[in-house]
Amino acid sequence: MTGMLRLQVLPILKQINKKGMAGMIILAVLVTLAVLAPVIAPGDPHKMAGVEEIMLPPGWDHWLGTDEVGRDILTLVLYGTRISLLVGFSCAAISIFIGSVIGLAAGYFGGRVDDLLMRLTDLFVVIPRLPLVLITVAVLGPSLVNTIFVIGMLIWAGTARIIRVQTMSIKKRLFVERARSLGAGHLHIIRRHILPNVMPLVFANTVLVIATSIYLESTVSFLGLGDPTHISWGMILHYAFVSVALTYGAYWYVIPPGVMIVLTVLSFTMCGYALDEVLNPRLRRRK
Amino acid sequence: MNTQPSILTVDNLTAEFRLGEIYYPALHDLSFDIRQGEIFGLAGESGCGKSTTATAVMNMLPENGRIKAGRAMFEGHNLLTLSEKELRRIWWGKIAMIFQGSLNSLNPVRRVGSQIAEVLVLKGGLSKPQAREKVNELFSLIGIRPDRSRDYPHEFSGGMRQRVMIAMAVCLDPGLVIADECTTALDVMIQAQIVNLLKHLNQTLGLSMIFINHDLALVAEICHRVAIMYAGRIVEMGSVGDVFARPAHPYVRQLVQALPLMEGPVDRLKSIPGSPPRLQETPRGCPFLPRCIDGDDACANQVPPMLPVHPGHYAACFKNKDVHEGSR
Amino acid sequence: MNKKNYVLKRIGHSILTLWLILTLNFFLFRMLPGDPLRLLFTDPRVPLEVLEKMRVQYGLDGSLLYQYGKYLLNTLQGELGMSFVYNMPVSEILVERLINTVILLLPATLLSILLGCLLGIVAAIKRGRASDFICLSLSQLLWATPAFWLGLIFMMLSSGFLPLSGMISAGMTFDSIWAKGVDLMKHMAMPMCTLSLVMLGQYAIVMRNSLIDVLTEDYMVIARAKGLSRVRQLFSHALPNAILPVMTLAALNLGLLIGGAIQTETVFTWPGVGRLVFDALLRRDYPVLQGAFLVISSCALLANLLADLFYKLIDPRIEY
Repeated sequence: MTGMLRLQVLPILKQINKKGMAGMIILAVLVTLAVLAPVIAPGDPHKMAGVEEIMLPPGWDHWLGTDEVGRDILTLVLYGTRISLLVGFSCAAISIFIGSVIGLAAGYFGGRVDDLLMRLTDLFVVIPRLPLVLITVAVLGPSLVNTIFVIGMLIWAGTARIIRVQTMSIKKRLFVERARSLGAGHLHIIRRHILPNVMPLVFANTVLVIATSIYLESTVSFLGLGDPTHISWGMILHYAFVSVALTYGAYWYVIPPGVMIVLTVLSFTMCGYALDEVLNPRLRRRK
Repeated sequence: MNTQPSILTVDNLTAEFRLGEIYYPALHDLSFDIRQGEIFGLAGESGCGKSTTATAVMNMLPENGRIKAGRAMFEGHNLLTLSEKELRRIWWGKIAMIFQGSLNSLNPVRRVGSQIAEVLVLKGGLSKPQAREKVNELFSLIGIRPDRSRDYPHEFSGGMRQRVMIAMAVCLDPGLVIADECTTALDVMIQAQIVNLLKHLNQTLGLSMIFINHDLALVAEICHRVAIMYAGRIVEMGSVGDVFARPAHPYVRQLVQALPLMEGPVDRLKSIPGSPPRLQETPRGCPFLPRCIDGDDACANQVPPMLPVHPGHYAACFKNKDVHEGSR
Repeated sequence: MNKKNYVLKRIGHSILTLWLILTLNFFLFRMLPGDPLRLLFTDPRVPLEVLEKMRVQYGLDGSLLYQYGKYLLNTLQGELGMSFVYNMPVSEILVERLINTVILLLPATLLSILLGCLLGIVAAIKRGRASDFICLSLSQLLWATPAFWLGLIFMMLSSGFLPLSGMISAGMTFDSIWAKGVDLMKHMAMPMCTLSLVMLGQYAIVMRNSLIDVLTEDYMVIARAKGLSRVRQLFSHALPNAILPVMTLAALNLGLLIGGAIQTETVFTWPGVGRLVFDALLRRDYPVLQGAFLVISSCALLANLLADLFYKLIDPRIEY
């Protein structure tokens, strides 16, 4: 298994362009920050300080200043990294799972099954994501789990489409026909022949899904539906918005969380594009 | 023999292409001239540099190509040293090109007539109604109903699109037309139509033409004089009668022999074993040597220059057989 | 199948999707722990007459299926219920807010298309060189930037010399339409900038890729050989081909935007549909949410349909 991994992964890594490499480096840093947050954060994200500590601009004690209840913003931002990455990866996992099941089924079985599943997928492609996520989270009650669940449930459409198209094209290939004629069952064919060929393309799409999930979660939190017990970057900005931060001119409150969001989304996107270029045979010819 | 003055004289044209970081020579030392009112053929197998010659002469090489040396004299100017602005005045108005007619040779979102009219208005100084008139005339000339000028390219067949391209090329009455593989990808009957149209234009309008094609039969049918190219060089040049009936260069001789005859017993198809040198290889001597039965050491050390075989007939071979002996 | 059949089939699909949306809308709000309508009856905010009216209107005595049927019937008649908070018919509120949103969105979209295309054209022409890299990176950067954050930054930068909220300065009378217009412009400036910047990235990328493909086509070589100037080659031959995917994207986005401006409208307190959703979320005004969701999804669906038909119609190559 590791041998095969090395055979397949290393040549891919060599081909990734510069932007993709930059993206991966940034991501590595972010993951490190997330994992080490409790260790390297200077303060406690839940600790609210006394009046002397509120709305302090960046200084030696607080590198990024403090918020309106005296929390150290650097700490908040670091802990926010954990939430965002957690959201990104969880939603992507849900999305891949649902998207694969639906895409494989639609592409492999075709016919009425395909029509039905595609109508369903179309529904989630047409409906604007943000309003649907917002309303569903509002209905279910704002919490991190709910947010992850809802975003994951609503984001699989793109993945499903890609998998469906790939499945349909692979199914047409000879080796599948041969396997069928030898009496192989559907599940066997899907598992051994179709899945390995479909997954590489899904990988690039998944990275974009992660980026979109993080973006969505930050927006949902900003608009007031975040989980107060798990402070994400969007939530920090939410508090900045509803407090007097803006009129105060507290740029240290507003800029860092936003920069982190941009950086994270951007690096995932760059990785996604770079991987897509490498793994998607159609794009390779374009250069 | 055509004793008219030359309208285009090419001397020692050398061009190269960039692959990656390095430039490789594609055309070596080409020299030929086009006489007024003649159809000049440029023939050879795929990759020998015929199409490159056309774009090089027009100074229209793509971004990764450049002219290394030589001149292309047209109306007293060297085309290879003119600026893009000056070239634009000559392009289409004085020298026009007919390209191989793929589906996307004509702009798919514009009506066919307007694509011709555009040139007439912008470069020919015609007014819009005048241009429309001329388009109708041109369509009649190429044998298509004038009312079809309002259609889109995808509504035309391949042969019709090619004829439209010809109409577009001659619409400004250029002195010279370069037809680059304009019969490829068409079936034989349509090819005949196109070729006849070109002959007709040459005879009635006195249009001079460079006819570039890999099909020797077509070249023989329509051209007055011909140059055969191999590996970026001209290896034989002369009147069509001389070159095809009495070929002096071994490559051309084998080419002509390879053409199956309509009459007589059909044996196996003759082909020339081996393949031409790749772009990255530039042999020191004669490029045809590896496939030549007559070659020797002298051929390996020096590229044979174009040596006279007969008045007006030249071949780049040290072993020029005096093929005209018998005809004396 | 010919054009007419295709159009009919496509419209049929859309109607089916619309029905699915309505169904989703209905059941979504029934998912509340404790039916919202039942919650209503214990909510002291709601006056008695409204309760009675609703009992009849929504068939609250009947089964779920009966309620569903009533819902469908009501919606198709434009009866979207009463807002908990404003005590007004939801449909009335929506119409007013929709207009406000469009006032902001239309110019912003046009600006973003224009700027995005410009960026994309420059990137395509200078492909592979520094300007291309800059344009591409800028587009990707803007795509990754949350609209609400950009709005916050703009607010911080412009506080003091531009109004920061609302659509019109409250409580002021204006001498003329002109003065009123200027006031509107001042309020519109920041939200419009925010929206345009966030949206232009995708247009830039689509235009760039489309134009790059077009520039390699045969007819572009011929356009050059015809002796046409660079400008004419670009505008007369390249762009009419390259712009097709951009127009499809624009048509799609126009519909999505009704719901997608939530962030910007919230930050700048612009009284449009987006802000309405935000307020309704805060105060759990479910009828409004339900109505807004319907409007937003329907607009997106319509835009989708129109974009699809439009694209097929304007590209002369497409066969049916």
